[in-house]
Amino acid sequence: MRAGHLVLLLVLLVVLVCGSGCITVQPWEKEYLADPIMGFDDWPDQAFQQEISEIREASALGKEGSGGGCGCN
Amino acid sequence: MFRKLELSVVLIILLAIFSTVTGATEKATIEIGKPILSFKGMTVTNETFDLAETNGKVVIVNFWASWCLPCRTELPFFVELFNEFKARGFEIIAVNIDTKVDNARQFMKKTPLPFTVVLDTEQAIVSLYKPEMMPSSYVVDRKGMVHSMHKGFSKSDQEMYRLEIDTLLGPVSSEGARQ
Repeated sequence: MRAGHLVLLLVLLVVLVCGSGCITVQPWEKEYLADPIMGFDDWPDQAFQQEISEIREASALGKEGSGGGCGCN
Repeated sequence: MFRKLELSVVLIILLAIFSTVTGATEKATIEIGKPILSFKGMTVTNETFDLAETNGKVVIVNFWASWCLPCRTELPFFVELFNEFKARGFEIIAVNIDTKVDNARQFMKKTPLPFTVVLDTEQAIVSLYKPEMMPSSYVVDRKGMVHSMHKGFSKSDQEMYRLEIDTLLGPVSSEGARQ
């Protein structure tokens, strides 16, 4: 088998594997995709995560607040 | 010669893969001017329901889910619409497609729905109708024919619905009921 054939076969195999993993979600099947946890912002546990971050960093407003200039966080 | 054959095979396989992937959005099965697809189911109040029993009425068959934001905006308007026209022979059949019934019940606690709510937890009815969008509503005339399809919902649709239902119901008789 020539090297060209081998490459072609590999490419085909990759495309087949990737292609078979794709499906189209129907509009009525989006129950889990519509869950707020699937969004990029306004996560339901955002406040909790921030609190944890503040405790670990020993600072308030660890996420959005500007620092006091001490360079500690 | 061999290279050409090889290339053709690869192209055919690629075409087959991508046509299955990209063309997978299922076509809606409901057509305007054709009879509405009948279905049977269980209502949220645990009663049996048959769409055929609504014959002779102007009906909106609506698909909604508690996770669908426009559906949650649309339903309070449907409550208004139902109260406005029910005496003239108007019915709304709201098919809920939540897989967890509790989510639907929770929504209905906040927004009580006075019309028939059919549960489709197995999504058998919605798979039959194949709506292109959520929410989707089908306006059915007194003869059981699909008069129009509404995909999605925005506030500007409200007047259109009112006008359409009023026209389909026909003139109001002296008793206030339908002709």
